[in-house]
Parts: sequence; structure tokens; C-alpha cells
Amino acid sequence: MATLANVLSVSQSYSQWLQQQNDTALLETRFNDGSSVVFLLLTHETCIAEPAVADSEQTEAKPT
Amino acid sequence: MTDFALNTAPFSVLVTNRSPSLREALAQLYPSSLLTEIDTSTIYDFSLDVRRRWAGWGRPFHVSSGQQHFRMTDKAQLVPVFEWGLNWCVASYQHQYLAIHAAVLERGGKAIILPAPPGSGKSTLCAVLMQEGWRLLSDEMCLIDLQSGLIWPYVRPVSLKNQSIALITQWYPDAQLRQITSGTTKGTVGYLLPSDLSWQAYQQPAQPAWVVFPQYQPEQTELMLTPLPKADAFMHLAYNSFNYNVLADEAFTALSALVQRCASYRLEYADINQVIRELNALC
Repeated sequence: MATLANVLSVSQSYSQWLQQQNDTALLETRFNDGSSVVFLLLTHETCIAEPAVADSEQTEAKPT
Repeated sequence: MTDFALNTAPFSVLVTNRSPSLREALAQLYPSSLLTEIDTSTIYDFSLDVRRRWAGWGRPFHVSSGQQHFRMTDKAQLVPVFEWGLNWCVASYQHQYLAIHAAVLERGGKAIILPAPPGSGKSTLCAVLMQEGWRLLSDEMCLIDLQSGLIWPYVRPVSLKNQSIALITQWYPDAQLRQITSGTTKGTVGYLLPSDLSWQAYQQPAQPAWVVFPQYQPEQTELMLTPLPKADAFMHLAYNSFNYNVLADEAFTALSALVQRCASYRLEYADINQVIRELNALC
């Protein structure tokens, strides 16, 4: 979780730091029906997490 | 001065009162054991002030909590405004529980949560289920304990509005409706007394088991009870919460645990008898 010490120690710009925190500081709950939600600790936003795409689904369909 | 306390667990309220009739009116809605004299050694959860103000011509009573204004009202609408003021206090000031705008009832040790916006039929459905033997925890406020995940009752009279009053009276002629007030900002409002079972267990929490989002659809021929993805249920519950944003990660964790353990549905209905059968079958 982001702390004031983290903030003071970084040399990057605030917007870069914010982006970095958004990318990393979160809570995630994966429910037993496969859906999941995410809570961003820095901004306190909550959203539905995109379902993970399996490798097999990432490849384009090929004629058999 | 006719100050009194209203000890509706889990909250106690100190009422600073200048209305000679308010306590008597509330005595029709609450057991006498909960309406008490002020105890100077008690620290009350909220204070609600009902004062007389001559500046509000035609609406001489000012309902507030400390310096926070709630509403001006006339004597005829004092009871509904007092009840809404209590809801406002709980929604605004308590953060020991995650509070969701929802009705909650219990049967067989398991609680059903009915979150819904105004007009969805939530209070009518809540009143019907209580009349059918479910225990009322609240018709307005689902209070989730952040540690245990249990739902705490906040038993108070069920607020019915407009045509719901006539429907409940028609379906349940023995239903005890009190303090029917017309001309409020919500139309005609009346209060259905909680069942004896609800009052007897008014300090007994329940384990959440179902989240059902009801929607009255007059054109619907068959009841539809559709499973809802849990992430969707979570988002709807968070949206209907009074203090999710205040409690932040604590709320996220508690709500995640609740949604994980509950089955979630969307309920679309027109016939109340179909609803009773369907929800009774869940138990």
C-alpha cells in the first residue's frame, strides 16, 4: 500500500507515481462463480475485473 | 420539555423534543420499553432535535442533529419526518457497520437481503414476507458487521407508501398499520408494526444467505428469478451503500465476503403470491 514515505522517496513526477500506484496497489476478490472485482487502494475506485483470457482464446480461430 | 430516548438496538437516540405529541405518537410504533427517560450516564449514538421555530411559517418544527439541519415540518408530518431523520442519522454518522440501503429478513437462521431503489416494491415485499412469518431485521438498512460478516437487526416500523398501504391492508386485514400521514414529500406514508417475532429477536444477528434485487413489473406474466454474476451483485450493493466510500478497503473486504457466501438473483415479478412461494422455497 502507498505510504507517505513512498511518496517522498520517489523522484518521478506525481502523475507517473500515481499511474504506478494505480497499476499495483489494489485488492482483488475472485468469486466462486468466476467473476471478480478490484478495489484501487489509492483512488478508492471499485470496478469489475476483466476476465482473464486463456492462451487458447487469444489465438485466432483457424479452419479445421 | 419532553425529552426522551429511543433505544432501538443497535443504536440509541437522544431526542431533544419540544413537541408535546411526538412521544405519544411514537408510542404507537415502538414498544414502551424502548421509549425511555433520558439517562444522564448514557452516551447516546445520535441526538435528534425537534424544536419549535416560528420563522418557518406553517412548518414550525425544525428537525436537526446538533448543528446539522435536516428538515422543517408541521405537526401533522412530524412522525414521518422524525423517522426519516433517524434514517438520515444512521446513514450519515454511523460507520461501525457497512450500511446498505436494503430490506433484510430472516428465516431458518438465514437472511435475505433485498436492496432496491425507491419504487421497486422493496418495502411492500418486505412487509409481505414479514406477514408470512419471516423475521424482520430492517426494511431500510442492512447493517453488516465488518468483522463477523453477520447482519445486525435494526428493527423499526416498516414504512409503506401510497398504494402499498391499501394493498397490505387488503391482503392482510389484521396488519397493524399506524400513523398514516398524507401530503408528505413521498405521498401518503404509513407504518406497519414489526411482528412479535421481529421484536423478540431485535438484538439477534443473522447469517446472510441470499441477495435478491426485486423489481415489480406489472406486465410480467411469470416470475423471473435470474442468477446474477457475483461481481455484478457486488457492484450493485456497493452502489446502494451509504458508507462504502467512507470505509473503503474495509468495506470492500466485508462486502466481498458477504457476496462470496450469498446466492445472488434478480427478481422480476407481478404476482406477490408467486414471490412468496419462490422465496419460501429458497429456505
